[in-house]
Amino acid sequence: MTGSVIVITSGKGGVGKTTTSANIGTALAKDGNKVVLIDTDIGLRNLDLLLGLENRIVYTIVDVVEERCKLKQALVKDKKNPNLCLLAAAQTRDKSAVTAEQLKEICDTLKEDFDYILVDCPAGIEQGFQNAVAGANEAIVVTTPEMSAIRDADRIIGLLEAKEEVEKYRLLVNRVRPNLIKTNDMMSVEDVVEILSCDLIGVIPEDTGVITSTNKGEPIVNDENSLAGQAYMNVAKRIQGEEVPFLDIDQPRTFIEKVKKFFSKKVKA
Amino acid sequence: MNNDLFVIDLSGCNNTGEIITSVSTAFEVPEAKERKIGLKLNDITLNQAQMLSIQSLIASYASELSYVETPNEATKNICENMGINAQLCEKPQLSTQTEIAFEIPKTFQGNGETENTGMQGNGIQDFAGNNTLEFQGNGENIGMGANGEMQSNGFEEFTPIEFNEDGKQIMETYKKAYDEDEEEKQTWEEVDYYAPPTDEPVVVDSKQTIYVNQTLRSGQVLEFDGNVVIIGDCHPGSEIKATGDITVWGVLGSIAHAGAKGNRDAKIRALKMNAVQLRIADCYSRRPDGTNIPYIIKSSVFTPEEARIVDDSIVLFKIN
Repeated sequence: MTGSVIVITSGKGGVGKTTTSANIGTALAKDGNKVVLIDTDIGLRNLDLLLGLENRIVYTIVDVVEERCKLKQALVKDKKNPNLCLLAAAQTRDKSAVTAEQLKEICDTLKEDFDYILVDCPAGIEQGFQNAVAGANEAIVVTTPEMSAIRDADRIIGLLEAKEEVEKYRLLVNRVRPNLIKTNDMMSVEDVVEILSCDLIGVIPEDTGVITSTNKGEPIVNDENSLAGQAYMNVAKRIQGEEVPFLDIDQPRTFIEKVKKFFSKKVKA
Repeated sequence: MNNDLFVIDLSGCNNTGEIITSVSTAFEVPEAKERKIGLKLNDITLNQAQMLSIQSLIASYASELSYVETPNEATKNICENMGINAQLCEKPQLSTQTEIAFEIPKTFQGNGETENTGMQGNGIQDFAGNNTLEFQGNGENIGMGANGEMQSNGFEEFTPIEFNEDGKQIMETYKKAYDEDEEEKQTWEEVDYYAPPTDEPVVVDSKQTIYVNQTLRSGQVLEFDGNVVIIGDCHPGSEIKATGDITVWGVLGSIAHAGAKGNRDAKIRALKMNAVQLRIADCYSRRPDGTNIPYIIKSSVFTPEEARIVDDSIVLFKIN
């Protein structure tokens, strides 16, 4: 089996790389794939919290690299889904504890046993980014419809283009607020795609459920009613090569909104 | 719809093609949309089909053609048959260039505070040295993406850009003006659109030219001793430095420095000019502070422009 290594990156911090990694990973596992999530944010690990696995970590990626344990021992199985594993980052070290070659080697080893290896990249373009991208053959660039995030994403795409191993990169626009787009207070997804001239893999609406799910340690894809969860499920489907139409994220919640929407034009994003 | 008449002066246009081009250009101004439009025509005879096509062009911008002023009797009659108010006027003075009866706002949609560390330091030499796309002479393609193409038959060694003493002084004065007085910042010259091309003979440039067939993204720097042609956009945050001309077949949204070794005849051309800064030899000018849109929204409407030095300052010319 040769799995694909997908790095989830953004350049700017706080746009939702870790949330995206946790959710796409869970969604892919739900569809029956064998998935491993690698947290490369050494020193500032968060992915274990989002999956609710922080108290099960015994060995970390640094232990694997420094040969204190075998790779299989360091993989933490998810609580719900046996198809999903986490390779956690060490909290007590920093990014220089792992080199790009070592991470590439880990990815190559994991490729044999897993369908998808998702690498959660730290913010920035320094060592941490170089490590995370080293083994990847696909990339998902996460951005929000803000100028600062777009400029950083542009920089990241430039760096990814220069890497020959990365065959394709696609854009995920996170935290989209349809009501702000309608009043022209936020850039639309079309504008973001046009500015970055990059293929789109998904649009995730802003959802307060994401915050509560992070605190609970349960990815939002497990919540079937959540719009953001559905959007992440669709992203996972597109990663698997299915053609899924983009979600109508402007969904009304209350009865009055539904009536209003019935009489007004649809805004698709 | 706004009921005030918006007059477009087409007295410089001598055929339908020119009229159509000028009218489309005029509608780049958002104020022209959703209004009543008046046209000032030259002494040319337009038949009904031609008038209809002009009318439908205007209608496509959600405006309405409601008034025509023409020295030509036949055109006037046709307009009246079509229900458009028309009036006879005197023949306009012949001018070679089209004039539009209002000032076209500059293409540059500035971003509030464009602070460039390179400028605030000691002139041009202080570029942030983050070169992803650096072409250093020996014909090798360093760090280029897979689809980068370039002519690689032996470049000369690229030496760091140096300015003569005068150049440094000019940079210093600009820097001072920038630091001391917000109001006195050097901005684009008031754009002299449709200025006639210079009469000077065309100098055949023997410099090497590099073709770059990709989009320059933020953080990428293209340095070349010669002319640069980019087929693609230049996103904000990238830089182009060339000792010759720079031509961008796309949106130029970055910093461009032509004639970097002091060639004041160098030019910068782009299909859509939205550069954060333009530098030619030892002159520099920056985008005016305006609406806070650092990225221009790309669209199919292009306004090709050329920047060159006129009397020590950088002036933009529309390429017709």
